[in-house]
Amino acid sequence: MDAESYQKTVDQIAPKRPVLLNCMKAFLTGGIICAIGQLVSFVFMYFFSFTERTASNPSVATMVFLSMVLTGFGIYKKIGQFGGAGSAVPVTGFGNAVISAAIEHKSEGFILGVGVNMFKLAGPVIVYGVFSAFVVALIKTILVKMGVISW
Amino acid sequence: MMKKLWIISLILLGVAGCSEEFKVSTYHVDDDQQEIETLTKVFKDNQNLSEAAAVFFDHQLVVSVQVQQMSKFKKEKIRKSIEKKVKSAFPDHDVYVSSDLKITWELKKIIDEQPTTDELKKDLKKVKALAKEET
Repeated sequence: MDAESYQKTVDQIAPKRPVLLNCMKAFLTGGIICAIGQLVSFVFMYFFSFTERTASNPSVATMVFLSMVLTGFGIYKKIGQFGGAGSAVPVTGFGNAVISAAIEHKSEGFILGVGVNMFKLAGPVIVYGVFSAFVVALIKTILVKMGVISW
Repeated sequence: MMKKLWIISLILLGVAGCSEEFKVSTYHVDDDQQEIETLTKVFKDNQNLSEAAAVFFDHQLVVSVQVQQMSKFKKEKIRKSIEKKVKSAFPDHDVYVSSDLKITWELKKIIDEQPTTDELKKDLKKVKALAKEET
């Protein structure tokens, strides 16, 4: 059996994925998470002296912390099962990735288990996040120096 | 029955959210109605605004505007055009225009309280310092 016919057989036997329903679920979950994030940023603006621009940093930190706590209690797993990518794409997915990896490897000890494996999933996010931020900043600096756009 | 109620309430919520009325709130220490009217006209000329607040004090003019939901992508552009128009309308004032929600809230607080000159000076200084913060 070659690869093509194997794929055909798999397509025939495998149950059909409800793509549209999954998309709706992901949209709803991601939307609710973002609405909570907006609420948190409003709280920071209303009760503390943060402006729309400066409130984004503490709100992101709060959302990551919340998702870390929810992961620890096993609630974020259920949200992830329902929402799929809708729960992974917002910044809360980052906190979930860090803590779930730490919990998984806790039995191997705190240094070689938790310490080594904590950023197994989240590491690529940090590496490529920093790298792409560097590239974008480089391009923008060049464009500003050339006088195409302004800061 | 329950489902129908949900749908109706959602539609009502959507309709109520869309029909937003343009509100202008101002506070002038010397209560110069002509200046307030001039400023209100500048706001009313721009179709993209949903809310505006302004405080006049000792040749200082602090303005904050909120743009309509669908215009949020062009917020900075709208803010700049408003700033230009207000500056040309009040050439002898030190004009500051912000599009930040927090600044709108703070200005509205000032307008509600109607503070004395000394307090107003302190409040406006605080608002301006807040608006300058970058991170």
